[in-house]
Amino acid sequence: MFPKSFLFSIAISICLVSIAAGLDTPHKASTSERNVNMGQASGLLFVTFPSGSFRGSATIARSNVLLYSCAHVLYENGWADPQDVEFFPGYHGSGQPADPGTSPRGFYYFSTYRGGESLTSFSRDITVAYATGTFGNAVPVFAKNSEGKVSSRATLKRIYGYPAESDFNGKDGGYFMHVTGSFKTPLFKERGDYWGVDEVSTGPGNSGGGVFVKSGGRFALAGVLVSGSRRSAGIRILGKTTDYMSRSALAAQADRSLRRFSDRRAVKLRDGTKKFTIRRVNVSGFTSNIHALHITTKFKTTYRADLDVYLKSPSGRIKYIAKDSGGSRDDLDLTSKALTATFRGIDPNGTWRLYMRDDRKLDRSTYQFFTLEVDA
Amino acid sequence: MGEGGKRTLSGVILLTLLVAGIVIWFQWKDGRGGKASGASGFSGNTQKSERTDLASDSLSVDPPVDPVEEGLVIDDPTFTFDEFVTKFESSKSERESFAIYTALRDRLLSMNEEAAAKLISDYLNSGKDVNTDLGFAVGPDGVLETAPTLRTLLLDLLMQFDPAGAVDFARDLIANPASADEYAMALRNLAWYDLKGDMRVEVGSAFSAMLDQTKWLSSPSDGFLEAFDLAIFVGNEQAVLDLASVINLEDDDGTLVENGVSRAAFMALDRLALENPDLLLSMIERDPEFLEHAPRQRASIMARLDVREPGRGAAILKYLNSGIPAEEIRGFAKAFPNQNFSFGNRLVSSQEESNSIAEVLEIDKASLKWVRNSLNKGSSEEVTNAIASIGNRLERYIADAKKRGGDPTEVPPLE
Repeated sequence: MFPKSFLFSIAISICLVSIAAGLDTPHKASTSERNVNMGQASGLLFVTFPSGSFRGSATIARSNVLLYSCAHVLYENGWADPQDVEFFPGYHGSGQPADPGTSPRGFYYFSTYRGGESLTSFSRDITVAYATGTFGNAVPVFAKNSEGKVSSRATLKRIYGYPAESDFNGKDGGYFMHVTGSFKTPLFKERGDYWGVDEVSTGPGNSGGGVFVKSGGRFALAGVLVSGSRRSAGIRILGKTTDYMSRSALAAQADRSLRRFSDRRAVKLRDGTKKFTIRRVNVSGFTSNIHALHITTKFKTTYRADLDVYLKSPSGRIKYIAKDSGGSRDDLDLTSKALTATFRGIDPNGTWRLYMRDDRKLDRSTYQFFTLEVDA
Repeated sequence: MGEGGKRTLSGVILLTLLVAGIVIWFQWKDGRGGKASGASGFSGNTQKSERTDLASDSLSVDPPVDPVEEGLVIDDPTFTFDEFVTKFESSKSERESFAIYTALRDRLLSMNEEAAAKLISDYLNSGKDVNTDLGFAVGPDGVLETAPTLRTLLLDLLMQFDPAGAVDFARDLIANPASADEYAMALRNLAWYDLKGDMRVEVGSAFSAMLDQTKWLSSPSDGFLEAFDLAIFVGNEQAVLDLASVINLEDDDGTLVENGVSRAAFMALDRLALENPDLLLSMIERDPEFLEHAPRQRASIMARLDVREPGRGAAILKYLNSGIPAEEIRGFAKAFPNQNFSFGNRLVSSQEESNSIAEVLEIDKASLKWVRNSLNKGSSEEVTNAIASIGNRLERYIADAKKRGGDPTEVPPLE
């Protein structure tokens, strides 16, 4: 558990006596690690706000036009303008970089309405910046397990970043890249996409730094550092949401698929009842979140206003399809009705349920089928 | 009838009974949705219509009753909230509280829905509550990941089990506001009950009333701030005015209040501007004082306008030359064309519809054309300089893309 009093931001004015033992000199890469260029993909992030300049850390990952960091690095009484953000990949020096860095063209921020520093906020705290040019050489993102998460049993991990108060040599004022040694300490799930690791020390300026995990013989980006202390680190793990943002930026179609899932167990609904009849479809096999969702369904009835129908997502979100509407008209017949506005960006996998009832007497209704068309 | 005839008759009767039995058995099995019917589930990659065309009169019997699904039995008669209340009260850590929370939620979700709804309604009516010591955290679908109190969790779950019942509670909570987090859930539940905009007026009115609660404004809970998402759902002028009224609030000394309200309000306003630029533009054009107290935010919103749309370029020039402060002109010049997008887990709204890098480049090219056409339109020197700086920046973006070469939409396969 992280002491809340020590959750760090990028502010560089807070004094730490020394950088913690978990961070050491730039890592001397082994042959296999050199292949993925972690040191070249990791970089220093300078952000200029009206109140002054701040530093954070970031990583080029997945594509050379994408940069992963955390959202709180980019916010102070308003989001940073892209041109006020500069990225210096692989930078390692005692002084501030002389040449201008690469500025993003824009950001895909992921955060809560409150933002700031809390367990809730950290678990959502991530930004994917994008450029029209390149940021440098990209590293791959980590291969996730079947739940789309990093396994706590994944072997070696490393964290890169630019702590501000003190550098690896114990002197202030430098802009040295700090790297943890490879460590085997297991990650533990704190909440949602927010994971922790003990026995690793971090400090202000490290926010947004890349957390790499070794899998299949090579390191890949698994998350970004969002909080920490001298004894622990909080990590925002990459998952379907960051994948969704990256795909949106890149208009990536390659792994997306359009598939249909149907229930065809027709049923004559009981007349004038408060009880719902439920029909289900199991959606599976998607590795990304919903880009578009449509429903096709048909009910035979002689009085449409008798019908209450709603769809429930696997995690419980509901969307009404019919609710005492349509008056005395006949059948409810919907073809490819868009539900994207309600369900865009969520995980499609799991059981979707269609709830239906005929809550008035006299005119009986028959459910015929429903089909979900999932683009994810 | 001879012996042989009797045997034949008996055989016919037995055969008839056997056939009838098989038919009845198959009907029963189909009615139960047994595996043999094979009608539900994944249908593969086909693009063909999946329609069946079963005539309604081919089904003349009532649907079979699944007792658990239909809520005819309470399948967890030993359940009481007291057990969990005691555990929450004696919890020694957030992690322990989270485990209790998860166990309670999972148990309620495993019950038949009608029984769970009844238990929840009874507890809510009792007026009892207990703190969970967890935050108000919204999950990906707007379902709560954690709730700060048991009542807040139950309001979340009730909407999943009994929407109409949850709406009754919501209306009561809005009429008698006591807890900002419960109020947020009430607003969400009303919005989820919407079919085609029929709940917008009611939610809009309740959202306005929420911002009248000075105690909540001065010390906002996470639920209160997440409820700013309801303004996206309402999406009208009043919602915009409500949001604008709480941006950049100052205390008695004239110092900006940094308690999250301003951030939440601007985030909602910005998302509204993305979704409905006409609404925001018409309000800014109509009333020069609108958002005058928030020049940086107003500039950011105006910078969202897409000059490819008719009239937008002229509207921007008019805005820049309308006597706005120099700080605002510079803010606009830094942001235009604003192509940032904010994602997150929201109570009601879905993820934003965002532009890809390729689309951004198209907008940048169109904006550069607008810049070149606007430089000699008689603007003040300050405005002209600002427009020129936009041009320099856009030229750089486009040059960067050319330098990189290749297709900006190329993406390595997912690891």
